[in-house]
Amino acid sequence: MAEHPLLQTRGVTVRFGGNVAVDDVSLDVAAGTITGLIGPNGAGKTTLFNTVTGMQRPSAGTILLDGQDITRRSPARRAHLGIARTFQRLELFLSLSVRDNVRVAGDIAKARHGRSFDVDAETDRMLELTGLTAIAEEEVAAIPTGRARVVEVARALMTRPRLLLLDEPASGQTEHETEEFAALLRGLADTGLAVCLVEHDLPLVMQLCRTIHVLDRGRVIASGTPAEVQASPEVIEAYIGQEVVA
Amino acid sequence: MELFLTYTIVGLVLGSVYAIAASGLVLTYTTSGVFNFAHGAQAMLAAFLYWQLSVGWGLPVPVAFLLVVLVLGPLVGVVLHRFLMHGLRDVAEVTKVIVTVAVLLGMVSLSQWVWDPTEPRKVEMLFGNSASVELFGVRVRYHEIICLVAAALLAIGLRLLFTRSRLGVTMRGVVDDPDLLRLNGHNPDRVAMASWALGSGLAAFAGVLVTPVAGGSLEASMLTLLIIDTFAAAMFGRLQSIPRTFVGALVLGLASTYLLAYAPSSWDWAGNVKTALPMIVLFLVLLVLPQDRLRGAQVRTRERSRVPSVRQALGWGVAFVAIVALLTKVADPLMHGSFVAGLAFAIIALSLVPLTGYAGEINLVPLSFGAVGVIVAYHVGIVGSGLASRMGWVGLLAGTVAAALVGGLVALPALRLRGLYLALATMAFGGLVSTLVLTEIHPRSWFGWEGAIFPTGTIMVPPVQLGPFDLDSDATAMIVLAAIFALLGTGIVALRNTGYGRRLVAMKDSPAASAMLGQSLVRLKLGVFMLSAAIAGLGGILMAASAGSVSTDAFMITASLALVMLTVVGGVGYVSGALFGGMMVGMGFALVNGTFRDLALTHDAWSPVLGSMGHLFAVLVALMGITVNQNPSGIVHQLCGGYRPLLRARPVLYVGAGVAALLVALNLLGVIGDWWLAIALFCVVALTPVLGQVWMAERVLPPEQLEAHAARRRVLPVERRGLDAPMTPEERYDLDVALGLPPRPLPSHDVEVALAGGVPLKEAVRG
Repeated sequence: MAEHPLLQTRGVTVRFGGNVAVDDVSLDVAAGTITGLIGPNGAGKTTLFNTVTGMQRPSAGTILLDGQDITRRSPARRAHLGIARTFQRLELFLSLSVRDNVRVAGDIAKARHGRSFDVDAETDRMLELTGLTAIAEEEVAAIPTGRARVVEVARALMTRPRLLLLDEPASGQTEHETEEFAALLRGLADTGLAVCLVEHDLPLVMQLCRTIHVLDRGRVIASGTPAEVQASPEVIEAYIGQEVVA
Repeated sequence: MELFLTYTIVGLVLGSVYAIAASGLVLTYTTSGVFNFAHGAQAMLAAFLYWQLSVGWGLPVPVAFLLVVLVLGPLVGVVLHRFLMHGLRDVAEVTKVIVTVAVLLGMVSLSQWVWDPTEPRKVEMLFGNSASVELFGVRVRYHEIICLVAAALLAIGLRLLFTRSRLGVTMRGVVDDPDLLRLNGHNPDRVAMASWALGSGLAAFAGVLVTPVAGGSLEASMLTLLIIDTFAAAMFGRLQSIPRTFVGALVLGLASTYLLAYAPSSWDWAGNVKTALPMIVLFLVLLVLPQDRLRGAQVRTRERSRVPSVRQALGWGVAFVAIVALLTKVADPLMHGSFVAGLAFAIIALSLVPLTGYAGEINLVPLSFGAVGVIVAYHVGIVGSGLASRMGWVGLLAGTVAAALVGGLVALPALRLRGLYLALATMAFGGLVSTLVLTEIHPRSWFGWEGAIFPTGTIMVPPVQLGPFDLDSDATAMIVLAAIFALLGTGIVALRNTGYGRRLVAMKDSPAASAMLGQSLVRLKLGVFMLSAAIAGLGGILMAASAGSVSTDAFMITASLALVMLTVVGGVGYVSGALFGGMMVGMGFALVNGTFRDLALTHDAWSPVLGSMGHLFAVLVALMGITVNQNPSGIVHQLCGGYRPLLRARPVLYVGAGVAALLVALNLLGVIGDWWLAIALFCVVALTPVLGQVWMAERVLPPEQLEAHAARRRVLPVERRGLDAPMTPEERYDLDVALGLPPRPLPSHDVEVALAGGVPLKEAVRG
């Protein structure tokens, strides 16, 4: 494993007017692990993802990828450096088939992977890996949400990222689909990929992640192993409410 | 000093009128999300109505004024919102733009129908041209004082409206989150309607005020293009901030007045620059606007494009050239010229397929890029002289490259921003070409080169010669142009089937996701825009060369707008849509107008009716554009889609073909004329799919629709609805309304998915 974590955020703060969506967040995501990011709605999880991918400029703080400062890089440049993501509100290419959704990511990535990157073969391999081969020719607009989330993951993986940010990938999936999906993520992490997972399905997060960060109202209120996080009084308070704890 | 004061007041008055118009534009845009390209046309219509009431029918000026500004103006806004705009919130930007462009064209056609543009009309200032007072030694007319006071009151009034009144606060809410507003018990539609009424009222107000300020003679196209000056002012406030829009309007008004006043008299082009100033300023503002933040796409396109393979495209291309070759033998030789023009326009329209159809970006003025191509080809590409002169391939190449380069320069400042800004930039470019380039009809010295850019306002462009093909004869030109169209069309289809084509479509569907995958959006947009401009340039040269001569009128913005609109109506995602758009503009209008004019000449008793049929046609064509939201894939595609299931019901096809053959036979026997044949054939083509649905429903209709038909026939008791049979979209709509949920009628597609048992994606996306 590398000496420093693949992704580091240092004091990242995002303000919308007087509203602080992300407040001085510093956390790490290591290669070859799945890192969980949980917290109630509006805690700033998606906004944090947006700052890492370049969709949102942070008001303060820096973002380091493999020790390199990428805070001011364009979204496309960050993708070239190896960051890929999926979206909580699906962002599929609705005029394209499932196969073309995956293939177009290869088309875009080909520019930096060079001639040896065979888009069609790579697409077939990725569809196989993610279990989408059977529905490859369907209109992406016509498939159920659970499957659509897998298409987004397959699309992101086509760029051969080093860091994969998943925004609620299991929502809309059936129990069976979630199981398959968990196995896929584990396999990916074993190949050295750094995965950062925002998810409301807590059992899934507890089962998959080695490290979990808990966000509440923009701040990290707890970090650690699943067991440590579950025992943290701040986390229980944030999730269950003050009165119960008091 | 006195002179300076006079100019300042004139500039402020002009700025005030701009401000009144621009604040209306910003108001409707921010509250309904629809940028109203017809804002200037509304001002124009109001000015004409005011003239009709006060001068034409002799009503007292205050009555006419109040009637137009307080009643008719807002009424137009309410009607527009009620019937068109309120369905446009979640649709693609292209659809929004095209609907308002169609309204613009419809209003222009209507005004030319009612008020013959060849008759001059004058509008006097309010209180008359001479009523004035002396202020600080400067003569100020009452009309000018009204403009200034009205703008000032408006600024204060809008400020109060937005900060103090309930309506204004909800108007701001509509922009941020209409669904939240609905949950709080407001009706965002009603708020948007109020803003359309107010915005249209302001357009009417500006229209009535501006004519006397700008010289007094009523002119439809000038008033309609007031929209360009207006959005240049609005651009200062990023189309959002009304105070900054006011500042922008005053800056524009003052700058253009000072420019004209203080330019040395040797600058004979100062007047044109003054007209073009708002467009120049618009480009400057675009350069300094900060980059747009990437957001998730809020738009869910409704079209499902079926992509033809290259082989299919090639097959259609060969068939097309063969049909055109056959037409050169069959059709009346007098018609050849019209066909050539139609094909040339179709090539220009083809430029929109990769740009708008694939990439979702908008160029409103393809003909202006055509003009660039024509001018360059004219100056460098003519070989030989006199009757033997020809346009060689050097000219074609130079013109095409020049159009591409200019396209890149025009698009570059707008590419970092949303699609609407590119559309505005192109329209401003169209204005620049009309006011600065096409007006250069007299020779002058250009950095060492002597000559006129567009000599005498009409330039002679000799026929194209490409190797062995001399396009001097119309029949050859028809076949060669058809071949060029087919080749370019096949190339565009081939492009769509490559990784580049898929990247274009991906960018249209979700800019955010493609950027996250590493796509540089600016580079992709720049490339496709240059490609599109190049095709438009080439088409322009072919159009001019096949017509023999071309005047500045050929490149009018309204002609461009009509071409873009009709291409979108035909189906901008398809080569066939470009053919439809080009044929309608290059051939349809000329034929229809010519036919009715001839009929009017030969049938005296009916001549008024027949004479107005051409106008009626123009208005009807605009109405086609208005309906584009119902059918975003285009009517050609819809028509073809109707035929596909008929392959399972051959007898229907045989009947259709039989009737068509019978009609042709009757025509050959001289029983029916060419026009009747054309109309009847059109009816047969349109009605055959309908016949199939009625006669052989079980073979033609998809199973879901058959099931839906059957379900409709079974009458269910209310309490069993949704249990014994799936709820129809109508029932779901009623239920939503009853429960106070946002009532969104679902497109049939979702219903099919729901029936198939899956969760409709669109609902999940909305959640």
